[in-house]
Amino acid sequence: MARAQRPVSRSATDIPQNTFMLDNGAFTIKAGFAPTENVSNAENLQSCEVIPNHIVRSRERKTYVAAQSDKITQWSEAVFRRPIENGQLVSWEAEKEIWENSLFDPKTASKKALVQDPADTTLVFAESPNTIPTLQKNADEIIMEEWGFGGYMRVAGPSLNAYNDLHPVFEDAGAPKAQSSLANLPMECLLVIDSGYSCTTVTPCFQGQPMQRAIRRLDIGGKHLTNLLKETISIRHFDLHQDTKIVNDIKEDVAFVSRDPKADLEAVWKGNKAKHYPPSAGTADIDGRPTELRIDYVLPDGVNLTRGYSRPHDSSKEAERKRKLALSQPETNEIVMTLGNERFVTPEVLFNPADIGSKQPGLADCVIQSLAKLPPLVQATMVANTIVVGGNANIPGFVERLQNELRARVKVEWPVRVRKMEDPITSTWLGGARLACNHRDILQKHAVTKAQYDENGSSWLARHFATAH
Amino acid sequence: MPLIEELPVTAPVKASAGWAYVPDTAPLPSQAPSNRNDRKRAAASTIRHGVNTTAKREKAIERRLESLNKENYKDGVHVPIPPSNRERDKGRKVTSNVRRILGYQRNFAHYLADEEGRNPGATHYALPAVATGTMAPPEKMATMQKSTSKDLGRRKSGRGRDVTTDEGSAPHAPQPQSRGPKRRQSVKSRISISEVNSSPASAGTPVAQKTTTPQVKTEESQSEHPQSQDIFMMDAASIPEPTTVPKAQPDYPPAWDDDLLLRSSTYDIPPMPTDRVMQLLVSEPPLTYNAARATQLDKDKRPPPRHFCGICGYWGRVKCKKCGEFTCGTMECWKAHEDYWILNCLMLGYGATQMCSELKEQAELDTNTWRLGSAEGLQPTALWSSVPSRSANSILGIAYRIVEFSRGKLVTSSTASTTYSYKNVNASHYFRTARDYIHYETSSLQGGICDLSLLADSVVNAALGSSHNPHKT
Repeated sequence: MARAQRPVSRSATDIPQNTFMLDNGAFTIKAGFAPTENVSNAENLQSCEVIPNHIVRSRERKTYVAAQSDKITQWSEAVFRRPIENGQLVSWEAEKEIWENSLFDPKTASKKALVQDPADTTLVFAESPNTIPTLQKNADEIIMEEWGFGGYMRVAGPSLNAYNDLHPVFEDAGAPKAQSSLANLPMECLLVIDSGYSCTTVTPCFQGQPMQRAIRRLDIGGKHLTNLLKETISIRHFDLHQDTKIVNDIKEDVAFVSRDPKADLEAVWKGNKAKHYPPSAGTADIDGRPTELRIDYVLPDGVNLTRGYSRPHDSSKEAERKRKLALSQPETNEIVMTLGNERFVTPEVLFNPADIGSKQPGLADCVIQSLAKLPPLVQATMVANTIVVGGNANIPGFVERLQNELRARVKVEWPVRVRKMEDPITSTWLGGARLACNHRDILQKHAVTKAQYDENGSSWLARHFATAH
Repeated sequence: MPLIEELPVTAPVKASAGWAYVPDTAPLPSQAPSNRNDRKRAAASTIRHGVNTTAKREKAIERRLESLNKENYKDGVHVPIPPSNRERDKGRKVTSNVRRILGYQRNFAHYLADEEGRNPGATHYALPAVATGTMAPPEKMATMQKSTSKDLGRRKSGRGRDVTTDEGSAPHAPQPQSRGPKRRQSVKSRISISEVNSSPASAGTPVAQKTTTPQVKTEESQSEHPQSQDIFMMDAASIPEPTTVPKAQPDYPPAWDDDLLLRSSTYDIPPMPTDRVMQLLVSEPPLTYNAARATQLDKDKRPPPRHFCGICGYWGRVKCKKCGEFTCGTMECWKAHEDYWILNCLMLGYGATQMCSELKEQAELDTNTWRLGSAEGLQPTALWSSVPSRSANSILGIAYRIVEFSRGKLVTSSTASTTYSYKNVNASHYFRTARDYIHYETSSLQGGICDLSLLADSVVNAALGSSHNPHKT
């Protein structure tokens, strides 16, 4: 053969044993070392550090990087800078600062996330699917050249979830345990719905590999829900346009997905005071009170109250009288607002983006679009093994509502199971940690060493990650 | 949602002598709607180029969606990275690549535009060219057809590095692919890849069509720019063997699986796709960012649009004829909407954006002077709800005062077209539009508009005389 070839030798250079799993999300970074032996999920998660992925400038014009922002007490009028836009890592200037602060600086990094010696560590870097190749290349180059990790693997985040211990999640408690040989493998067919800060991605995975043609994305995520809630509250109650973090807290505290939004809208409409409409059956349990969906939310003022809280709304007569009394005294130290339909109409947008005028389909239809690209048996298996990860999975009622909607759209003979892990936010990280621990051979096949990168360059690297399966 | 935007203004109208030139935008009789009712309705709507037109509505929706995508309430805020005093960073050598990447001041839109510019209309991100290979005319992907014969245009190329013979090749997953023997093929022959269809009865499996226009282009060996159009390059070596899944050993004779009683008469399980097909599915290159977005459903599948009351959030049962916003129908919400509409009228008449831009240079974004937030930041219901607005001196409070004033002095003309005329008690002028009135008021201020609260005060003073105390409002 005339052409000189450079064989990609994997056996010559092994990646370092110590593995650091990094799930670079738009809202938070999940980082930590993978365990060396098989441990339980709870123990595994103890080594995961959740770091906010932002640089904040507070109202007092003081700048906080990443986890330093936990010290902020007055969140009003804080300005955020995020290196990740639309799910893709755009600004390495900011991200480098955040990483240095949270991962490499012994003074500011937490013990769990501190990488003492990058040359002796393998980095497993999870990114979002369908990243622009230029951005991937930038990431590769910076990671290899700036910090010089000994081993490096860049992988699409959702596919890592296949390495989680999912049989207990999907099977009922009474089902017999799977045989050990099967249990060690990644989940064969898994549909991962990653609903995070910037967007919601539907990724069907086969044996831990994403099926690229069927990955679909909805440009609605936690950020849009927060902004929508901000707008709604600003029109009806208080102007909170500048208080993103406060509205985010409100969303995380009180928002829920209703099983029957029509019934719930009737229940909270002021025009229905004469006729009493009970809220739809599952949502009543969220507050503990069977008939009242409305809550009173007390806003923080940064001085006396640093974090808002909610309490159930009391619509009785003496509460009404108390409220009127409080209004007449302007020095009330409480800023309260009553939230009714905002609680469940805001997350409705995920299932029905047409409510705000968007042309995108709802989440269930997006899943159907994604599945339509797959063979029918694979479709059936995917729909029976669906897992929701990401921050939005924490919204009460989200998973059940999605299951109901999918059930209505899918053939009646196919079982539909939509589940989530106990902590959907760290679920991808957990999958990556288990990959590094239990499936060392797969890691060895995909990852590259610094020596290989130095020898072959970043375009070889991009090609390797795109093709090596 | 309140829509604030600047209406096209041909010339500022000077208030004098009780008349003013107003552009004549009445429709020509030939173009007028033939139906008499339509004409009456058109004439009755005060906002001629109102918010109800589809193009405006589309723009409003677009703008709203974009505002939902924002990180901060203001676009131009820049959070500078604090300088680091770390020992790590002192005296370290930074490679040129890193320095270049760190210096990028681009945001996502730039990268996306770049990518689109490179490969307009591509659906997949092609594999990057290997740096040391020589040119090879990129192979075009024919449509995938099912091939049962084993003698496809098979090529196995060198392991990853060899670009000359590095055309895509057909995957042959079932055969144990030995990485040893490499066959070279002629450079220009086409490839065909087996289709996704599984064997016999396909239950309507969609076939991935990768039709590309035949285009032979030399690729730069150094650049990593993918070729134009859909170029799908795969090495045979990159298609791995299917990972063998250890099958569970059944503890009954396998013949029992085919028992007649187990066959369902109503439902047949779809056929199992072959290993080759599955391997193909996982080895494809990723879609582009835009191609991966979920597309709008077909017209007949879309759910009917739902509207909500703009004031309280219940179903929007009543549609306002003038501005097209929905209300739930209760008197409370309807009155609130009417007030808001008058406000909208006023503001549009003056051009709220123009007003704000004049003030922006001078006013600070301080809660004491004014606060607008996003374009949708006008909160009309705060004007009349019992919940106090955060800043009573904000533009809302001022607007509230203007509205109050205008309501007291509202005089509708006798013609069919309801233009609002404002009577200034002191000057006894009639103004054709609210804009003229505000111009009149503000022209008396020193140096034009310097503070909206001054504007409001002057307006209210003009209405109620100087005995009025503005701070009591």
